[in-house]
Amino acid sequence: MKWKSPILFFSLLIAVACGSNSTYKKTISKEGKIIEFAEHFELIQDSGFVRLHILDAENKSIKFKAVLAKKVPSSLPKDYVFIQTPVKRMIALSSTHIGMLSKLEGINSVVGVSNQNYLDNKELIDRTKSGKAIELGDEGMIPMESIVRSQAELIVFSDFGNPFPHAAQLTKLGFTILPNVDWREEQPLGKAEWIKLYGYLIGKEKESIKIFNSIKEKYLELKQEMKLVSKRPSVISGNLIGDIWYAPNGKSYNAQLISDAGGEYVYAKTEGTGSIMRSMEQILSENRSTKFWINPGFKSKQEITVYNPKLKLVPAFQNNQVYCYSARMNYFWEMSAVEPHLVLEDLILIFHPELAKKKTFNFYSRIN
Amino acid sequence: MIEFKNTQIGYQQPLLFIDELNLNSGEIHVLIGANGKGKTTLLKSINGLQALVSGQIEIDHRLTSALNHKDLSNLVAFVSSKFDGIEHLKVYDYIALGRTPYTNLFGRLSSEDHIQIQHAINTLGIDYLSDKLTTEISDGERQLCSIARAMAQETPIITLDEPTAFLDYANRVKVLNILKSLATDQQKCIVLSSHDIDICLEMNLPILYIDSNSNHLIKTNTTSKSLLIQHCFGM
Amino acid sequence: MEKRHRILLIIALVLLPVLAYFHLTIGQIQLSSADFYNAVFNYSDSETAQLLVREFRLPRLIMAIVAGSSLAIAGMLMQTLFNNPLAGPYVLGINSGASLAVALGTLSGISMFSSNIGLIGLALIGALVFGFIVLGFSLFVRNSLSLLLVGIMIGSFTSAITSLLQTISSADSLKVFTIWGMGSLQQVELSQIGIITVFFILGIFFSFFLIKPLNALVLGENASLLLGVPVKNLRIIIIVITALLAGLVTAFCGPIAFVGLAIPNLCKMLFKTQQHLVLLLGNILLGALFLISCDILVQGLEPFILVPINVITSIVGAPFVIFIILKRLA
Repeated sequence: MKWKSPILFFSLLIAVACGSNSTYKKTISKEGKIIEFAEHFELIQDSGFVRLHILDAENKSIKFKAVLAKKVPSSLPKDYVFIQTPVKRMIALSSTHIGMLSKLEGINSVVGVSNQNYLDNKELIDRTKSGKAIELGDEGMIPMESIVRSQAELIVFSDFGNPFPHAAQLTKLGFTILPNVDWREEQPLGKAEWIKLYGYLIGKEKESIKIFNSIKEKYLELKQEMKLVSKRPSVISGNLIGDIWYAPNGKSYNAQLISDAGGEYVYAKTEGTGSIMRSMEQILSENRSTKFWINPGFKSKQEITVYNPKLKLVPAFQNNQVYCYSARMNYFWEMSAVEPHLVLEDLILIFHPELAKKKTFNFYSRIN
Repeated sequence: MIEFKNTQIGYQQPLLFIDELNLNSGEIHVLIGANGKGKTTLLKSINGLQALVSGQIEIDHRLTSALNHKDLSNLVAFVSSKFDGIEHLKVYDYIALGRTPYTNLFGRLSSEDHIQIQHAINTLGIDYLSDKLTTEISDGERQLCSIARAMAQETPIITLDEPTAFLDYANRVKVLNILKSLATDQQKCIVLSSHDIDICLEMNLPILYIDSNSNHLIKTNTTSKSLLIQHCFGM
Repeated sequence: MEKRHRILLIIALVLLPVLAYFHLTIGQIQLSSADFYNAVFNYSDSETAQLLVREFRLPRLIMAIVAGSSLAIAGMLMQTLFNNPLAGPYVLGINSGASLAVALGTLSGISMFSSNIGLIGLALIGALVFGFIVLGFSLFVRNSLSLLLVGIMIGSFTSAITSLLQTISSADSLKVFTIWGMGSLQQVELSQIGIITVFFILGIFFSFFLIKPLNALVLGENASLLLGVPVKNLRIIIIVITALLAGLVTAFCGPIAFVGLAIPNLCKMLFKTQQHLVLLLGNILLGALFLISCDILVQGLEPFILVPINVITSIVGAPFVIFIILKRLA
């Protein structure tokens, strides 16, 4: 019996050791990958540094490679850019970037934004007002001098396919330009997982993992509950631009949110990337009994009618079942990506109010 | 029909002086002078397209300065030196446009209009051209059509700016003969400018020449070519 | 009027209801003649089919007729006034004015301006203002050629400013403006059809009074003056009618390309006449027929691809205009 105790002791020790690191261990797969859901970036733990790969929106080839470390590693892999962490001065050009940084309490690292009018985060607005963060303008029009003036180490921009203006010159001047492809993520959790990118950039890796896991748990819990619901109300999303109604396609981010919230998206069976297009006649005839209309992009029924009087023919509109995040648009654009569980809560409150635990909206409101 | 009194023809500065001159119905006058001396400007002044520097012109005892374009269209018709034809436009329809001052609001041609048009066509001897397109006939034929159009306009005065400039010899003679008979037979007042000194002198047409020294318009019935050249060109 | 003209015009007149019928029924959603009848006489808005007829199909058809005819008439007026087969209804720069106003509105970011009524209002104001500017110039220029050049310069100038506005605007505003620029027969509301028809008929009505002076104008401005035509006044009236018709269309449909350029030339070639009574009637009918046909094509393609009307009018119109140029140079 004497030999059993050490084995038991060591087993317990190992069990405890594993237990405390269980969170960390779960997220590192055999190859050292840190990412579970996101399909357009990879964080891979290597010896002494972390590899960051940003994958192309369309073909998922690696279009940006960086090494994140406190010091330049002795052997920097070929074609990799070195990003010294923690990044203290960053330009964040899209709302989603700002939302994720705010969740990590990393707003104080932002020294450049696109447009103050799109901001909701109070801390960042103050920073912009006091000059600690510079307003740079719309992406296509950012003057190089402004970027230089910001003294940023890193520029994070939403990559829709076009290169960042003046990229070559900026790189020569020492700026690192990081293409963010979170907009392309179709899985809500995949999009939210980009918070880990910022976590690793600003030296808050563990926090970002912790925050994401908490969000993931809450999201999956809600999703599981809604899986059991049999009666799913029909939902249409999107709006007209000109003569064409643009709606998310069946595999898209919005479609998944609707489905995970227990709704039946009318165009769930469509394929392809990008939006699907419909004529107004098609919309009317295909949505005769669609119960809900979400995300029209306007604040009131009046606004919608003025925008295009034909929209008041949509039955969901006539039945007052139009919902949107328009009460606080900037807030939605900043936080919805990183807090999909809150979006899910809202949608569940719309589709299945009797099942919703929280009876108030986080982002959405009914359009009157 | 046309009375000039102390008239100065020109734009801002006077180009041509006419002290006193009467051109009557039933008369044809040929305007002769060096280039740039004001022949075209004189015709424009009679037509009402160019204001006088000073003095007056009276047409049918009415001051041209008091006449608007509508009034003048009943008094003066104009033929330019060349007509290039207009696509899709038939000869008959082209001549019919001469009736514009007389047709109703929508341009409908009355039987009287048709009579006048046919009369003009017959006088010019171009009945065989009636149904042809103005783009399909010769320059000479087009010129005859232009004169027919001016005739159809049924005005007491017809002005022509070098109407024979682009015609061959035979056509020049033909045109001048027609114009001469328009004056004598139809009692029109015809004024034309020309460089055809020879033919005009041969046909004994009354000449209005511009003296190269004094820039005055002088009427003459001379048949002496050398004298005319002397006065007009100082040669 | 010749026999040939009569026959062609009657054919065109007969084709109009035929094509109109196709236009109303070719849409993806099947509608019965009962639907059409009820939509007009026994309307009940709870019936989707009747709703589609009243709110979608009928306004679209009427707009196609009005726009096609108006642009063709305006094009004819411009081509005769300037004695130029390449002149179109937009050559005076009035359309550029409407474009500029819409650009300023949509790119300002104020959402009111991007609404249905906002776009219409902006385009009308723009067309009106520039109509007056051109009218002002027409009082001072010596001849129509100068006016044509002024119009083209105005057009270039406003295009440059519009381009500038586009570069400094956000992607969303830009999209609204770009889509407006593609033209649409579907933005018009049933409630607006009434006033559109009134001005359309007024435009045509006054155009009839221009037939006689236009016939004379083919001889040239001086010759017309000597025939007693008040050329300066004529120029003014032509500009007003063109601005009215082209401005009306641009306001409710955005800029629709090629109709005003191609159809008047087609009429000249088909009817082989300078008689403006025939040309006017021809342009009214052929303009409508052409645009209805283009829109039938748009509807036919709907299940496969949603194409703006300008794409179709350009694909058909551009080769035809090239053909005209080549034929004239021959």
